[in-house]
Amino acid sequence: MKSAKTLKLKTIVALAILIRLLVMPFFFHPDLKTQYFHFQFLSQGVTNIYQYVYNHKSTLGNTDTFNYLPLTYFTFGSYYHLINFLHLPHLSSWLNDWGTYQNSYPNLPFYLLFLKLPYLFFDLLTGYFLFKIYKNKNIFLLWLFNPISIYLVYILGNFDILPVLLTVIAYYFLIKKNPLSFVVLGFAVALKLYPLMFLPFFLLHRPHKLQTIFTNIFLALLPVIITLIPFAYNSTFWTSFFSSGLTQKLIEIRLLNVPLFPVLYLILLYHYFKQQKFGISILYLFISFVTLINFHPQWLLWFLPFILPLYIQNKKIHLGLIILSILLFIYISLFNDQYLFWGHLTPIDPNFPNLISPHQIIFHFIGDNVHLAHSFLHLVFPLAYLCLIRPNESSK
Amino acid sequence: MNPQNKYFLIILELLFILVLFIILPSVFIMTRPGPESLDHNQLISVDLQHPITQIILPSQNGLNSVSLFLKNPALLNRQNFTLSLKDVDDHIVRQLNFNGYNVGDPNWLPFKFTPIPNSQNQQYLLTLFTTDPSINTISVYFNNQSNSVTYKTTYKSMGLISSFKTNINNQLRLFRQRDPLLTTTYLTLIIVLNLVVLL
Repeated sequence: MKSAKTLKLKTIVALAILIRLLVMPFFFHPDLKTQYFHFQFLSQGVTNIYQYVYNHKSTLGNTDTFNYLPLTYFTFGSYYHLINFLHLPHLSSWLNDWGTYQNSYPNLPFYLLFLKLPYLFFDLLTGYFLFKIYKNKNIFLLWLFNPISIYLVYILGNFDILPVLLTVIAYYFLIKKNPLSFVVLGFAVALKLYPLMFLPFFLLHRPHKLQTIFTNIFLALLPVIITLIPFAYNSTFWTSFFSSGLTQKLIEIRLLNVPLFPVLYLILLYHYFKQQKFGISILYLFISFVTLINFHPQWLLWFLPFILPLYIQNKKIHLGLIILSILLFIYISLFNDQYLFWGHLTPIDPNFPNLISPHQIIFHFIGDNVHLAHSFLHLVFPLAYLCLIRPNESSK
Repeated sequence: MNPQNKYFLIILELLFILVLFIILPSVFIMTRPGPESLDHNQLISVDLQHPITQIILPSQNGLNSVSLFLKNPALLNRQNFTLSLKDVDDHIVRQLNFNGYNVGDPNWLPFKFTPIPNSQNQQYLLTLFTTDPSINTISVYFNNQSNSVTYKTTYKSMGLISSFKTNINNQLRLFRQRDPLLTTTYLTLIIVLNLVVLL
């Protein structure tokens, strides 16, 4: 990192792009394919993807329902429509091929490169806005060169980086006291519901008046309402949307039948209301989230832009990030998903997904206790934080 | 960028390519798919009078499994079956005894065995037969156009050097099959970015 500090901006950005271009084509997760399998239908004129999937379930190669919001479909569907003009050889065949040879397309690395290309733009822009917010070059460097976000954005290849970028832009406007903040956050929510978690924190940012809070709630909900209106009376949309399971997961872990995460969330919100320390509050929210929710690794990206800057201000940054990366790697390896380990290397060799995964090895020795090991890791996250990687609490 | 860092970056990139394309596949992918016939359009029953045979012609040394796609309707069959692999001299090379109980409705029945070292281009006859009479039979999926039962094979690399060679051939084949324009554009982009960083 020290040597990176002395580099010119042009060199830093070029190096960041180089690393990403080396990773993007050669790592795969089928979620990217499933998402673009659905997004492709926009270029065929399908505007209600929920109904289309429901009506054509018997003839589609992939029978998964589309569980995302309409704006996500229209945004990435439009991008797919755009790259269609490039006529990438057999891209459409690959997206629709869910058979035995689906991983044997020689041009698979280029499909992945093009499908992940918007993420590169969103990712760099997130780094830029983090720099604008914290006015610290190290934060920009940390965002560009930390292995966690590179893994989450380019290996798992999920589109979450777009709502993440919008949440960061919204925070930038928030500290500039620009009401656009809530509109931008609203667009993030219209893409994926999770930024709703941040909305109360944004609303309680000082100075706050009751009237302003209501205006801001309206501004934040406006993009969501506008994009949902055409689907409001479509039962297939609501069924598909609620089968994503996040809402269920938020209330899964209970004590005396009281869901723990919502309770902790309210306590944290109160803490934020009193202290006005956004970064620390989001860090505690993150710790509560990874402890109390069976999260998918890609969800860690939601918190990352707000917790990384905390580590820049003390000397434990390297240790903290290394421990977090190792824990994340172990947590991911224990998932019963071939594509979360060897399967990532499918573009290198289509036989990688057939290799025995860490989950299978551990399952062989300890059977169903592998789930206990996974649950144990949920406790390790906060313990590791408390013992080793606690950042400077005085930072805002 | 100072010269020390330049070398470090180049070494890091080469190491990345070496690990990703050479070391990982060569060391970990020891079993690869061999000849197979996956399409089917009919079912053929296997009973006392009607054994099933299929010629297998492995393209590599180290043949270590042949899997058949079988159907045991309603899981009723409990007959004993034998699956044997014979060479051209009619010697049994490998054999598996199993029960109808092991066959699903339908599922792949894996016939895994110790790798046959010199299997490349040798002809083998796969035979599935039973000596038990039964009303409820099991069936084999068959394609009457290619005149082949539905089967798949795998072979195991005979040591690290053999695996290394197979992987290199595989990577070269994939590289040649890739779109030349996309490959050239991608490689040019990587080189240009390297130059921007290094110069």
